[in-house]
Amino acid sequence: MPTFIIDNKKITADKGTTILKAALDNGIKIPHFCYHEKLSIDGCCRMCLVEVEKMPKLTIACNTHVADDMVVHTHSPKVMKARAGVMEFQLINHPLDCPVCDQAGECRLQEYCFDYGVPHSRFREEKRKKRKRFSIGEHIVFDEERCILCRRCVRFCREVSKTGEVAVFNRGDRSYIGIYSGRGLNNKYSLCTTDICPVGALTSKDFRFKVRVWFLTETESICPECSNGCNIKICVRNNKIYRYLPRQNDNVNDTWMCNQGRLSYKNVHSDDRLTQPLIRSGDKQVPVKWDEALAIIAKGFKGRDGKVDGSHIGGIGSPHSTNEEGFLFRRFMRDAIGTNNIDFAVIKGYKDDMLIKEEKAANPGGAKDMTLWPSNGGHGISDMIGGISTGDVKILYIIGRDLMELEKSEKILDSLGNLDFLVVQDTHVSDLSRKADVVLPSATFAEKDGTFTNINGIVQRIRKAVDPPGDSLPDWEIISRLSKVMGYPMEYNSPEEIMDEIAKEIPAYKDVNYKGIGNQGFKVNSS
Amino acid sequence: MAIGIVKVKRNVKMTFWERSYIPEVLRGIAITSRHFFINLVGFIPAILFGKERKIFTVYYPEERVKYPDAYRGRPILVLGDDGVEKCVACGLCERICPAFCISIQPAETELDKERYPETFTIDQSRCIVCGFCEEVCPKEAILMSQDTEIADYDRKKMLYRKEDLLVAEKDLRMRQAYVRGAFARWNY
Ligand code: SF4
Ligand code: SF4
Ligand code: SF4
Ligand code: SF4
Ligand code: FES
Repeated sequence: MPTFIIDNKKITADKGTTILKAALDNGIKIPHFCYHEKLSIDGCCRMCLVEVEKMPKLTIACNTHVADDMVVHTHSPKVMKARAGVMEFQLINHPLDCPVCDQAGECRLQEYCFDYGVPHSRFREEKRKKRKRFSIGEHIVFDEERCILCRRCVRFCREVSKTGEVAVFNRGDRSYIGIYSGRGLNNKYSLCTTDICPVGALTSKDFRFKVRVWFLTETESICPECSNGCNIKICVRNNKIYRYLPRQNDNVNDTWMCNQGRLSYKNVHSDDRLTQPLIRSGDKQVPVKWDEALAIIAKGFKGRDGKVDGSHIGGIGSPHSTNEEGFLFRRFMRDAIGTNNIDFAVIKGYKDDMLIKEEKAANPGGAKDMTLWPSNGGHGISDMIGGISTGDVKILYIIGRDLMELEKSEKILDSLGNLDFLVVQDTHVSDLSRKADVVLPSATFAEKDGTFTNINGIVQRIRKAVDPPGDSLPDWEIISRLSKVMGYPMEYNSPEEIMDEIAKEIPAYKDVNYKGIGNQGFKVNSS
Repeated sequence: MAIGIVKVKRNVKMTFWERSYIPEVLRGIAITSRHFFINLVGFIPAILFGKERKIFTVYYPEERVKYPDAYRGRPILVLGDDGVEKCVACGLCERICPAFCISIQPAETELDKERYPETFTIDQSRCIVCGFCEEVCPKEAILMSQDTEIADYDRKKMLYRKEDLLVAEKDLRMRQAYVRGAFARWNY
């Protein structure tokens, strides 16, 4: 383990670590364009030049390994002068586009220009003209003039998405980033290139020009689209989500996320969100206040004799709910209602061997851990649906609409019509919610706190980024209120308190608490 | 120059004429009345016959004072000579505005300038006419006008939309020249 000195600070790093990595890990800033922690080293931008004593010339920090007794200066006059020179070269042909460039505010070229550049341009010649603003893939716009040829996008497509459609063509100041003919930058992770592009050359069609990045506040959360649980940042302005960005977590998603997950933010603000509790009145569903809706449910759960008979009642939970909500739902069904007919459905779909997982919900693992399945002779989903026609199941309480994506959903929908009483708790209007006697509007993952357990048993936090629309509430709050109305109070101030309860009851989660989860997750041995 | 105190000598010795009071009062009234009547009708020759005006009073709102070029009235948007607003919705004025009164919705355009403000609203009831927006704008697209008459009975009417804010560039040459002169000194 070499020990060396960098800016008068003594640092020990593993053998084979580069100066740049060691510096960044220790909070010392060295500007860099082409280096990316998760990509191979290219060494083409020369921005990371540092001075190493006894070396004849400045050297690039991103490709120089640390050695014992090395003395590195990252901000010596010599380095600063070289950096200003590199900046000048970078800017020779760079357009003065910042006011219209969507990268402004998170552009490395802009930032380093402030920190290391010279305020005046000495370049009096004609700037090189290149192609501006053209589509390079389904989701991506490319501006050739702004590209600084750092080749991050090329390396990403070769090494991470393994699709290799991008390359540098031509030579010298005529070189440009291009796509092999007949292809587009269309891999399932293509939008990651817009994150790693240090300038505004690659920008996302979806996000372009919607909002300036300096107006966005970021909330750390988890992508809700599949059970991989990629770490994300939710970017919000004025209670509206504008984009998700991947957040680094080396155990889960490195620094990447798939396009589908990234663009799924639109679901949160879609027009078909449920915003008020609804009750059936004839053919229609009419909006009511929470108290009224909950009272009707409490009444509906009771049989003609005024008692709750659990054996005819079933509960279908949701793999989109948090662990806390799954736990409360299970407890509500088991203890307040007195039934073991508990199950959940999860949609399956496309998967690959990078990030995208088969189960299209964030928390099927957590739902299993919270034992949202039939036990002690209870019915599973198919038995519950089958039991409707035989009169075995008369009342269902369903969270989410994943049921509708199962095979034979038409048939399921038909048989639900024979129920005595159907409660659907969901975020969006669906065929299922239209069938319900009472509809309860619930919050999406972006509108509440809680935890998801991903496919590898890593428990991760989601955090509230926006307010739920209208009267809708997080699932845990709805269940807790309903339970109180049913005469079985389970009152909590926050999901954190529920997690403490989970830790007491579920052995695999005994060491889990919000503090320990932090922003990188906590591994449990899930079932 | 040394600062000292100068004692002004006043002549308190009055003549008999002055001490008899009434005539002097009448003289005062006469002076006041003369000015009153001159002000009342004095603008007529100036307006009707274009004669040089002799009085200072301005008959607002029929008459208005020309403010100096440096004057900051409510901010307006520049409509370029090509008929397109100069603003590219870069968001800098929205960011710098200390009163948070600007809100912009950017959008993409086919024109070369790539982005433009789909909506651009200034809440004039909050604007403190500081001129920061004008100073920060990289496109010389927002300028301080000479308009000070922004009062209204309804706060909602004080939300100026893009259409209300646009002013043709040809009417703004003076301010443009002033801004260029003033800000060039700081080498932005
Ligand atoms: S890439 Fe960066 S420096 Fe270049 S125009 Fe865009 S914001 Fe400005
Ligand atoms: S497009 Fe962006 S990431 Fe790719 S080489 Fe150019 S600057 Fe680098
Ligand atoms: S003059 Fe000042 S307060 Fe008014 S819009 Fe401009 S920046 Fe905001
Ligand atoms: S600073 Fe200028 S160009 Fe930018 S949004 Fe404001 S008025 Fe438009
Ligand atoms: S970061 Fe080292 S050369 Fe680009």
